[in-house]
Amino acid sequence: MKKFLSLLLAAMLVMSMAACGTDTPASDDTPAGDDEVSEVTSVRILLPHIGDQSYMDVTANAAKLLAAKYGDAMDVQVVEMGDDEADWEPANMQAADEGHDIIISGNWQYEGAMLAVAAEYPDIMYLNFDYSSAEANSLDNVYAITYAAHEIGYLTGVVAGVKSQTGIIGGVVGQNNAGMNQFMAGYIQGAADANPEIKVIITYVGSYTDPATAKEQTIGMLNAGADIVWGCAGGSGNGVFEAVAEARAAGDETVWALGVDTDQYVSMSAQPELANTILTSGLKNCDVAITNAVTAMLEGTAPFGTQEMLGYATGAVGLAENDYYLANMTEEELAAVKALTDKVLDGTTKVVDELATPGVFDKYYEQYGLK
Amino acid sequence: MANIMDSFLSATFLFIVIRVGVPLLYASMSAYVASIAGIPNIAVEGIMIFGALFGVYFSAITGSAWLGLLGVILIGVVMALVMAFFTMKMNASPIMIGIALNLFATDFSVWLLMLWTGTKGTTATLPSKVLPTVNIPVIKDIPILGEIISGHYFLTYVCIALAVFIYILVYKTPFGLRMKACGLDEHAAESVGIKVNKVRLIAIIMSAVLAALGGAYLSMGYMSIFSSNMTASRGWTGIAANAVGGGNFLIVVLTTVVFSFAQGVVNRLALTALPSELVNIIPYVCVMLAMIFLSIKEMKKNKAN
Repeated sequence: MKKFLSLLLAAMLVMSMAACGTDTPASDDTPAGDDEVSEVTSVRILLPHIGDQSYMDVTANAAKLLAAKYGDAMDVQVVEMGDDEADWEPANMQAADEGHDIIISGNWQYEGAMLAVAAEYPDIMYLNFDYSSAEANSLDNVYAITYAAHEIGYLTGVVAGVKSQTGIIGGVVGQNNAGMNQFMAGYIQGAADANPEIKVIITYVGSYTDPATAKEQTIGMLNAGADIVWGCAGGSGNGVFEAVAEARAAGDETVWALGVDTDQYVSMSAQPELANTILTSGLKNCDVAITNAVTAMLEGTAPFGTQEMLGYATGAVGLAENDYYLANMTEEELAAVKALTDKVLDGTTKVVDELATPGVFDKYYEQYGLK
Repeated sequence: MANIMDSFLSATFLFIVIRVGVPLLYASMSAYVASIAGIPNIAVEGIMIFGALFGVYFSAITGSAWLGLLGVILIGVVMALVMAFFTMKMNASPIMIGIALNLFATDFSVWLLMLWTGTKGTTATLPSKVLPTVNIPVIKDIPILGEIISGHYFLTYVCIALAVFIYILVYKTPFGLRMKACGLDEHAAESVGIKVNKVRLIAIIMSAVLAALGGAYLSMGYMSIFSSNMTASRGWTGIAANAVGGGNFLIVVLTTVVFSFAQGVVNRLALTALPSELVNIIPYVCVMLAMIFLSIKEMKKNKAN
């Protein structure tokens, strides 16, 4: 038995070495040269997972937009790297070895794995679709973009400020950090621009997967008089919809929830009583931004080695203006929202950014927080 | 600040304490029943996740919340049999099995979610049902008391009934005595003719069904959908409560009530401008204080002896 096992192991070792032997020339055969680019551009989008009905799925949707735009001239695929951090660098390494023209990955969590590999493959064009560290992304073959989260907050805040009848609005946030408070500072500013008398309650769930606690906090806000609550807390945000749905079922049709990242009215549509609480959502249109960035890369106009923050004016962030939203906003309310959001579009309104000027959230919350 | 203190003394606050406390009580009862029979169940969290997910799934495919609840009990039994097989037949450490089941449940539930809904976030695309909210006749009209104890979810009343049941079972029946005997010393129990494996199997099944019901409470009442990892460590809180109780059911329940109060206070204080990090540690500080209190008591008792 022992002998058989050792024979088996030896055989496997030989086989795997043989496999390596044939693999290496194969990958060398695949050129990443310029003549290849002119025919079929090969694009890979590397994500830890898809199917979150939110951020990852919007990002993955870029593959569809690119395929629609370029048709046969582009071979674009989404690669799931898995949630284990140790697998991200090998996944990037493998994608680079396969010799694609453009590799799209990044985001604060797994940009490190991408950048480590990008430095070794200067011929491949990299797009970091949601960068966090500016210094790390200064490589010559990396184009890094991010989204104006504060502007998402502002747009959502304007809707909340315009729609609120009690003059009290809430924000249920996943965790208390600068990134999340960047949303919230904009939210308060937007609401205050719409209604200078606005009062805001912000709570932190402390987790992105605890809808029950988010629900309790939302019920508390509603009891304190809030009538619009923005769930900005990943999976915990579902608790906000549950609490608002309960209040609406009890007869208070003036209370609303707001969603984030994707059009959550659409992703919740199979549960009408939950979906019907969602007036609108603040959108991070990663798919649109990626498509624009890839176009710029192919046309040679992408500013490699630099980082860009994409705001409302580029279409990278926005509001979910679906039929349900339009049906539940009056003409005057829509006009009021448009008047304020147009000012962001043309640059007359500068939205405060917690990441650029730390402390601005505290200042706003001090002024407008419900005492 | 004064109106915050007032709100802690109101009927609504006690109602909230019950609402947030029920999943914790399910978890601590689950941990308790298994541990007194000598098989510590640290898979409470994982079984809760499965209970929450399968309840939603079975209610969606059968179109009935009650059949969904039956599915929850079934999945509890299945998990119990898996645990029993490995711990009693294969002589594996219950702690290792618990760790394995927790890890398994966390990832496998997401995989099932993907299989059934095509997403990894929620079961929002499944037409699932929720168990009813119960207004108790007569009691609901009594001022204050009615506000506190009427109008809860169905599984809230099941939880309270099960707590009474477990108390009677453990302290007033021969079977309860056998459970404790198996927990204290299995060889001694065996020597007086107790079928240790049978007693433990029943205890594990009770434990896993309790945990599964705790999960179902979250996804079939409290919430109307499952969302991934929605148990958010409530199972571990239950295990902690059981550890504080040290085999005494009333202390286990009391500890859980303290946790529930603390959680209610946290939820209320979250609305104030107090730093959230500070507020969120209240339940854990309560655990520490309870532990210190109990060990001081224990020390005094030992000295007196």
